[in-house]
Amino acid sequence: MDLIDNLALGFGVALTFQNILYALIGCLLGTLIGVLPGIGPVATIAMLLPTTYALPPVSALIMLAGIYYGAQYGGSTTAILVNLPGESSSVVTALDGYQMARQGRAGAALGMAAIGSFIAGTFSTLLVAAFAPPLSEAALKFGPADYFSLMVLGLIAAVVLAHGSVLKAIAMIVLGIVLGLVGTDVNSGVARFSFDTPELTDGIGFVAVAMGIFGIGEILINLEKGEAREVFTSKVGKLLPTLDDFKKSWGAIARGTGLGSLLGILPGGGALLASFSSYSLEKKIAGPNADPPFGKGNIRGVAAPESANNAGAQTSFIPLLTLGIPPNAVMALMVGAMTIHNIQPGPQVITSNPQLFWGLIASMWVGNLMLVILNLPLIGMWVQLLKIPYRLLYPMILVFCCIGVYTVNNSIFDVWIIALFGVIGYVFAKLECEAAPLLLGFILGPMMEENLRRAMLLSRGDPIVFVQRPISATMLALSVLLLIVLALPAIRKKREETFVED
Amino acid sequence: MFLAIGVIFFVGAYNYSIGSASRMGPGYFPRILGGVLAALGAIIAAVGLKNQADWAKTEGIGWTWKPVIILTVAVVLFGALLQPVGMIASIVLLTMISGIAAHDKNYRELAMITVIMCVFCAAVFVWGLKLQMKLFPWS
Repeated sequence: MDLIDNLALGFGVALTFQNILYALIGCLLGTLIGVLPGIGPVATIAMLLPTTYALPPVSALIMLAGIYYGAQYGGSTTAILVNLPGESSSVVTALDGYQMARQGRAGAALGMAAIGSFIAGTFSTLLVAAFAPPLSEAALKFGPADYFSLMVLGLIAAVVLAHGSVLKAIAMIVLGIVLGLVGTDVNSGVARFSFDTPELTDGIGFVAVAMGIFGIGEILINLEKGEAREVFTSKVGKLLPTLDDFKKSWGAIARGTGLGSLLGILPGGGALLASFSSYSLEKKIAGPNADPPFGKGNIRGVAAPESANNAGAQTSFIPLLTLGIPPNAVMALMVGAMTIHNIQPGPQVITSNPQLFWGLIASMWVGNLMLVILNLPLIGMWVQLLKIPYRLLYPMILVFCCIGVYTVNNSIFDVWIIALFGVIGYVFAKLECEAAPLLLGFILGPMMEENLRRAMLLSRGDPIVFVQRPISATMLALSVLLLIVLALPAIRKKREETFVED
Repeated sequence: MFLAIGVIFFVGAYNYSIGSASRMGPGYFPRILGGVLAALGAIIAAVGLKNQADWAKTEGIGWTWKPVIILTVAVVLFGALLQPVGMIASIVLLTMISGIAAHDKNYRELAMITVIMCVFCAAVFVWGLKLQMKLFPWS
């Protein structure tokens, strides 16, 4: 009955007034940015990192986590009502959700998305609670070689998730790692690639890179596109789905939750992959004779991806909390958040900071409940927010980015870094190179180097350790397998299809 | 482009002792990565050259440098001015300059946003979170 004891501890932490408040703030902010297209959870969390200084670590993480899953939720609202996914993970929701809205059943779609998300959230919270402790015990047995291989696997898996050319994605990862190496070498104290600039000896600030690419870079892309937003504000209709809707979707919700949870745990996974795959799965199961057909307002096409992205968002905390390895860009930022508060992410968190660990898990459930209760009545307000034109939005984002990054280190240099990385982010987007792998490489790079060196030191320079240790060998084998699979033409085509879908 | 960056890091790493595989020096890891990056860059460039027709097409999408330059200038100026003249003046400049980049300019709205941002940032960051920032040149 450890599980119940632990959850009780967690709820004890999560249900204090202060933490409920921060979970609420996180969820509201998350929904807000989820609703607004053109600003995602990565940029928001990066902007808010500095403000969490003043908070106790538990509250800070609770709030940031709330932003992540709140954004998944908010994204579905605009996807359904406006056919404009606020987040990339809601792209597939728009396919059937918007059709339902046009048939006057927006309420049912929204309601089902909310209910599906909540069920998925509950299930995946339990899953995290059940699986994290044994996993983190296993992780304690990991040697440096195993860690190195695990990170290789994580990075390769990130390639699967990236759009476009595999080659470019790999190049972006390597570039990220190299950028992560700028600064003082941990082992020898030699400053590397600092070009004699004192600011660079501490390395390039992670927050600055994230904000530059995902904050300013995104603004530049959006400015170029110009405004093309049409708000579809017909009547939302009844929020409660009918009994028939429930009958149709419970299977979809269950499958979406299962698939999403699984994909969230995998390195490189997360909400985005989860929602895409569960939609494809649902479409396949329903077959061509679905009534109504998929893409024409089938409620299962809303329920499945919405459950899946919420489940994936939550289970992606598992690798972070147990292994200390972020599976996606948002989790990479959570690593940043934890280090700001002097918490070393990894298997020891669960024993050294049980309150933080269980509090965070419990707060996810609390947050999900809040999202359902609060957001259904607030949908009208969110839709109003969509009317704010982008020309007013982006100067605000810009100001928050600049001030936010400055306050991390009180460093003017960091402000210039975001300007630089804003341009870099724009150029990369133009060259169709995705930035998320770069960020992941940036975070994992220094960790990889350290573990590689440690492993080689222990083995006296013999690279065979990586194959000798069973854990490490398995990880490497999996990485190679993934690469081969990616290179196969059939799979490659399939992958392109999933991302271009309809 | 990757090729160029890879070469830079590869050559840059020459300045640091590599050490042996068992006791790696600070230059070991960057050297390998620089090599890998350069190789990848070469492949990407080769593929790009082969499909030059495609490339010309992407080129056609167009690079709009105007907002890029305006925003970069705005942010750099903000950085340069924050410490000498304080937060309020820097924010005003930042929003005003960046506002020029919009397709549909509306100066009245822009002024409104500027004022709101100033008040909001002062309230949240300086008074609320007590961050070390001066508001005005004289404070």
